[in-house]
Amino acid sequence: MLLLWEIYYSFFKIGLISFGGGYAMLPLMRQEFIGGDWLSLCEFLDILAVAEMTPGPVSINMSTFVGFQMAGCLGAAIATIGVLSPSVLLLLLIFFLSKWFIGSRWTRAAMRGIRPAVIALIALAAIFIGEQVLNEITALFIFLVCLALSLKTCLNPIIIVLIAASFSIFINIL
Amino acid sequence: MKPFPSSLRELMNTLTCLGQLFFLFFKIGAFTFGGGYVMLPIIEREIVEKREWIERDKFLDILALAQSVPGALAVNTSFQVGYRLYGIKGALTAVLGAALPSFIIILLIALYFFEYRNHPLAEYAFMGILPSVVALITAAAWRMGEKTIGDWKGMAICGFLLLPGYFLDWNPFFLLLAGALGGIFMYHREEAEAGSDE
Repeated sequence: MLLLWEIYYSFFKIGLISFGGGYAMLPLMRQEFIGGDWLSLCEFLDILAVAEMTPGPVSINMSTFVGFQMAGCLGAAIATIGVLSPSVLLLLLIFFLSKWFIGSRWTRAAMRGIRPAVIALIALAAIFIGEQVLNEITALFIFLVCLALSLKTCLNPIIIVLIAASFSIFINIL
Repeated sequence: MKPFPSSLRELMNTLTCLGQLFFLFFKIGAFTFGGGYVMLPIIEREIVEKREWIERDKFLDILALAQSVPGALAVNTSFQVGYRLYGIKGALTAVLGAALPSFIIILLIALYFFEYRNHPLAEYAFMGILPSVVALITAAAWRMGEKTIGDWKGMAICGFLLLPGYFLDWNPFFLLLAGALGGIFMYHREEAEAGSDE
């Protein structure tokens, strides 16, 4: 019971900072789960890769998977509800207070500061994961090619991931 | 808000409407790979163009709000679409529909994942997948930066926050709070001139 409450609380916090989609929450997920006895770094990276390759929002995929690792199916459900709760509650709150909240110049100014902060969070996620993963020349090559594909073409992300996977299988088997 | 359905027929009507809403978002959740920015055009096509449930400029409002609260873009959008159509029950139905496919798919994968993780083919595949994921995250940061950082102030906030975030491992909440305070400090005058307090 206590574990489930802990899972809910952790994922509520994670949901609360996930501005701009799933990537901004990765730094907090790392701080919350890795290093404790819940999740190893390798498992975290594996889960991220799976979350990226399956349909649906990365944040929900990550939460379901990590929750499952921690406490089975029930844990997965609690984690997913936890990560969804802040958005749902905030949106409801905003619908009731709408005019005052959205229109206020203080809110607008704060949002203009939060957006660059979110980008810093996403960049931190890229740096932290990149440090773990980009440790050899092949990985670096795949990274650069995928980055170029992602920025210069409008290929669906899943296609880019699949290209990278098949390339890696191909050169390792040869 | 409607009163409690007075007849069986009305109840059936409500259930049919909610069912349609649920299955639409279930379908979108189940078949769109690649996260929120891939989903949005599909949601727009289904809701605005095909079914004409919501007008285009209303949909743009929905998008703006979806991007200014935390959470997955697809979830925030589906919540608001459901809310506009049928109130709170619509909102919860739509969110459930959007979230359930990922939940089920991940659960199935999680049950079997670690059995196959150490197979050599999986090992090779992950050696390629992880760098590509880093590339996708980097590209997301880059693209969002291009879109939302409009001036040197935004760049300064982002740049300054990277330092404590990286070297001191600050809690992301502090980073967001610092960003919000920085935004209020640097932009409140500009925002006061730009628009009236509504």
